[in-house]
Amino acid sequence: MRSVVVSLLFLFFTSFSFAQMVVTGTVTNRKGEPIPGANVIIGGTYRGTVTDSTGSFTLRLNDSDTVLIASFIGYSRERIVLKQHKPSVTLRFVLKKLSQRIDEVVITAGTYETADRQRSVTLQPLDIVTIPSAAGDIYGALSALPGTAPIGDDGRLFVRGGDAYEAKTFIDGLLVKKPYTSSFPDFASRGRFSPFLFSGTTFCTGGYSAQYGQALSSALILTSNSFPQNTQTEISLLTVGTGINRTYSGKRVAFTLGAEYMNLQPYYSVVKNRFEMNPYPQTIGLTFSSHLRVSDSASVKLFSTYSQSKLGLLYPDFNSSDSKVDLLLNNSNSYSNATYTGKLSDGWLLKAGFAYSYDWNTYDFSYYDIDEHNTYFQLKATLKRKFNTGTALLLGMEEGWNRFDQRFFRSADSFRWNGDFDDYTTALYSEVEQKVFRGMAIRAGVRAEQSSLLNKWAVAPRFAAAVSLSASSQISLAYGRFYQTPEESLLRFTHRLNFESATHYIANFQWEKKGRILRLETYYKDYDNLVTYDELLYWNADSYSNSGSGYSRGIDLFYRDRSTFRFMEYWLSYSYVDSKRKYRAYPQKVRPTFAPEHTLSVVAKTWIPRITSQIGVSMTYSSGRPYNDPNKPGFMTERVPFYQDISVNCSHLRKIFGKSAIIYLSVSNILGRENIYGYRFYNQPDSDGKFRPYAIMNGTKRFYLAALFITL
Amino acid sequence: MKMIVITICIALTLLTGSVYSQNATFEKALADAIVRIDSAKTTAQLQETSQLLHRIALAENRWEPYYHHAFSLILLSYRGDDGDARDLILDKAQQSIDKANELNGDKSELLAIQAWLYQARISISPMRGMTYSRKAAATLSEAITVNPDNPRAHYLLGMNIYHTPKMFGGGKHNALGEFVKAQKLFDALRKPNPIMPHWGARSNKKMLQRCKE
Repeated sequence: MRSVVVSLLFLFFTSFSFAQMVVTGTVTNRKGEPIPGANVIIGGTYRGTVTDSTGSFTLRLNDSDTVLIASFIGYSRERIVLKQHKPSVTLRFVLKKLSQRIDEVVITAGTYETADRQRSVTLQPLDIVTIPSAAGDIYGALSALPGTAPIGDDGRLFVRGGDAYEAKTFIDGLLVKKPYTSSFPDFASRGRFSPFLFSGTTFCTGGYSAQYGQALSSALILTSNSFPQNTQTEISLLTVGTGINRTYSGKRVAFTLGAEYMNLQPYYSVVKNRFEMNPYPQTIGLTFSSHLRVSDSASVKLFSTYSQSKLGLLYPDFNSSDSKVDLLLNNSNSYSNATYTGKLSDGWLLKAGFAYSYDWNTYDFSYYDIDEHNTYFQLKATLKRKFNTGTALLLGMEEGWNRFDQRFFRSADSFRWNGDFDDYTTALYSEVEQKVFRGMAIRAGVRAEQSSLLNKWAVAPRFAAAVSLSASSQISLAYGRFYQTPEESLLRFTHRLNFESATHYIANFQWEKKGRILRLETYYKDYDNLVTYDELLYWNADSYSNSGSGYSRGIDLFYRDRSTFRFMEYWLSYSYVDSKRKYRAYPQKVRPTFAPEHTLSVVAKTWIPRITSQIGVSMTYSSGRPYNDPNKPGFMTERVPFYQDISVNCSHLRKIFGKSAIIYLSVSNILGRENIYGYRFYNQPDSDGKFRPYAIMNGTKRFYLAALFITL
Repeated sequence: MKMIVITICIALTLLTGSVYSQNATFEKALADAIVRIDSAKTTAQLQETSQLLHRIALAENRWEPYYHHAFSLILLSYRGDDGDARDLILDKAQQSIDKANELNGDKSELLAIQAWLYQARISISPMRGMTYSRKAAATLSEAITVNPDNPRAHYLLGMNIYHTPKMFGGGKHNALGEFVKAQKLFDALRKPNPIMPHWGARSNKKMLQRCKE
């Protein structure tokens, strides 16, 4: 009996005995590469260690320690059970990598994404606004990115050798029919919307998703702000106008109401403009946006703007070299956009909305008047679903109605002309994105479009793929076919036209590591079915056809560094474009006026904490743009001198009367270079038989802007 | 016979005792490790304690050790001198905060430590000041909304204001209010739970001194 008790007691005591064992080993992946920093834990305890830089570890075990577990983030855990205790043991853990997370590989070919995310690829919305050469204009800011050309006499987006009409703007997925302000030829227009209204900007220089169509070159996709956090009032005072914004933020609903008034008369009374204006450019505008949380999984966004503007100008009369014409422009514009986003049962996400745009322009030229109305309505619905297999599916439909009406009246002979049409467009699209084993993603889509006016339909395939080469680099490819209904200025004379089309081939290499990003992209765009007409018979429907074509190829380079210098960030963007096209009234295939061969942009910004200010400098250079000289043989053979602009700006943060304020100052073209954008020629030759040229330039050498923004 | 029964009873008590005290072992081990964070004199000691906290977190799958692991890593990040290496340490801390959030930890405390992580990011590169300072302020205001009596949230908000330039509404005069609020809340806590976050009283006192100078 006593021996049994003794043996039992002995059993317990031995379990607490102090025998030690030394275990050494390594932790590697399946390729045999060591994993430093991996945890090796003794099962059932908190004792353990971490592997060193060679993936090796050493542990002292007690007799009761029988299980060792190795783990490292992104890998599956590995257990080893020790069957017997020897004084020293060597172990080898082999960890299996877990499948990549769904969102790790992002297709970047042809896309510059600027959303406010942890993994922002290029620019943040605030970065756009502080680009000195932009003067607060979204489109001006985009011209500091590769793929765009600075066309200062126009102000719209010209992407990779493409015309401005080939680039479309979308807000929350819906088309913005008139994203630019109305202006005269040779005078730059600007974007209608303040960059502060948007939290995300995706700038596609080509090869964009099947969700979007009717844009031969590029899509600018803007996302309106998410639910505002604070109730506040913002007042802006600028040398060109004033504005006020009131935001109310509640639990379920938030809205912002804004009003702005711009008038350049005070500014031009101080800074002399080479053009005589009457009235000076003035705009009155109202903005309303609202965000409603319908439920935990659904929300509704509303966005609406209205603006009224006018401008009067004395411009050379190209029919007679000594006189000028009075040009007067009045514009009324309204745009509204409503979207619903909601989670349906079993994982489907529905995004549906409509957009309405109304634009009315009256042009009063001395000899004739033009009265133009354009109404556009769009309905769109998209269903999205992500599956566990790493597949994302998208299906949608789009219906649009475009109504255009133009009236022409010539006072000399009381000639009247009216052109109008209604075009109903329908589109269906579908896209699949699939993660294919580790580090590779493929996206394939198709879009079918139909236009009632042209009575034509087209099917556009889209394809893109991305392969990650390492943790910090990837290559990406994109291919797509794009169709676009010809511009209204052409359709007012004839409807017997086909879609214009373009095929894109894009290859992209991207490297990104700790605050530095390098992008190299090369592309080839093949244009087909571009509309041509005879310049002398522009009013004759028979002279129009889709017999134009062209190509555009080039290289875009982008390098951005936010980490080498502690207080400064900078980026460099370079584009090379080789493009020729025969379209519109062009008699032959030539490099168009909006495709300069080289464009270089350098932007640097620095934050000085002691004076709470950010100072920025931007330098833009582009080679001379082509223009046509009727005095010379050939077509579009001449080039203007190169374009160069150095702009600076400063944003100073301070508290004024206890309120947060920003004082903003900027000067464009600080060196005062007289950039020439092109030449117009008088219609009648001089006494010596030559057509006199007229240089298209800015009204002022430099543009000064001072502004004060206060948040109450 | 009786002796066998008694022995077996003793044996059973010893056995069940070890199972019963498993939870108490976890709490004791975690509480000890937390104390070691404060008492660590060298960076190597702090690293060891940080690794121990990680092991406890991996073994137990509860939010508290992940919280304290993140805390120890943020402390370690301030001791490093290479910016890239410090960012990597903060990336690991972010992973632990994310894990603790997945395990439904104390929302206010997790928001507060998230804000501290943002502040640590600024100290690596001042260019990030504008974005991360805003993020930290927004996160802290949420932390205070969830629990207005969280002294750490008020202390960190005070730190945010203290380091904001005076011209923009910062500086010690404006930060003082938050440190005073934090001090009152620290003093009100008699006996804090040893595994819940309870740091900050000493640092807060130091900041109060600085603001009153």
